Amino acid sequence: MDNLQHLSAQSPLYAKRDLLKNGSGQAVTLSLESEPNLITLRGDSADKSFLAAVKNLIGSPLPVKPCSSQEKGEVAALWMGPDEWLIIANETDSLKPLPEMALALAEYHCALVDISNSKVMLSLAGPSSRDVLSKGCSIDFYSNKWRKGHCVNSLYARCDVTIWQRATRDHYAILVRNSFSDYVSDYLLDAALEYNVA
Amino acid sequence: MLKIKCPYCGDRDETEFSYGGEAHIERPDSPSEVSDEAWGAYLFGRPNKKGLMRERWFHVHGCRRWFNLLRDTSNHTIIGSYTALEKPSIAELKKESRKGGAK
Repeated sequence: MDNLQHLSAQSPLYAKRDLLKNGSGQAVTLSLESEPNLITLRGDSADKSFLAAVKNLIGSPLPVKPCSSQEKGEVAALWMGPDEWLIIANETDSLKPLPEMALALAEYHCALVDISNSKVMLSLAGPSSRDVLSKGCSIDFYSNKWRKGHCVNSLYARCDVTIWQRATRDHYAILVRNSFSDYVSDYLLDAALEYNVA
Repeated sequence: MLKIKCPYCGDRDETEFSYGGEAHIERPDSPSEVSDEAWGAYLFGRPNKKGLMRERWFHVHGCRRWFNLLRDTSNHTIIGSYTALEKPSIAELKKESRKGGAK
């Protein structure tokens, strides 16, 4: 197996990078984010000492307000439910290895599951990005709830997605399961087509 | 299409939810001691009434939480929603919806 060591995990959309690039323009830009490390954390959001322990561990506080996120450095925590969070780390070494994290939280009733490489993270930016999102999702992207850090779990073109606002405006990250990523990226490219016509 | 208010996420489209039938059905404490009729009523007997009904809904494509909804089955009016651990009175839910929506 030694001769396989140079191989690394590759996004299911790796071969589609050029297609995403060619489908991007002034109004909408689509691109593939680098493969983030993802961890699902379940725990009691009413337990102050648990929240403090997690903050101590990952650097970022856990958001307790629905549909919000917290970010510190390379680590972000997204609200997924009243007792569930998605922790996103851009760099592998910005978090401790999972067994060490589990050990640090051993005294709490909680669960940590590594779900890295289970989802693809797409970046959608540009002045028409909200219209592109509206084409596949029933959520009102023009509502004043949409600020930097706002995140929702919803359906985009009938697929489960997490949509997360990354900047003050017009920049979103879309997290979608690997097996749906080909279809969702096709749908996004098609939705973006009309806005990028020069 | 219904617009359903998840007690956590707020107003969302009906397509994000799945229906779980009547809410607040209590399982008999000692199933081995109840009569067949009582057990049958617990399992299958549902009033299926026309009008205000407390229902269970699952926000399957959102926060993945079960919650309860007070809905009028005759005209689809949704009065309010509340988390699985609560049971506010109909008057309370109506009052809250007049104030501009449930939580």
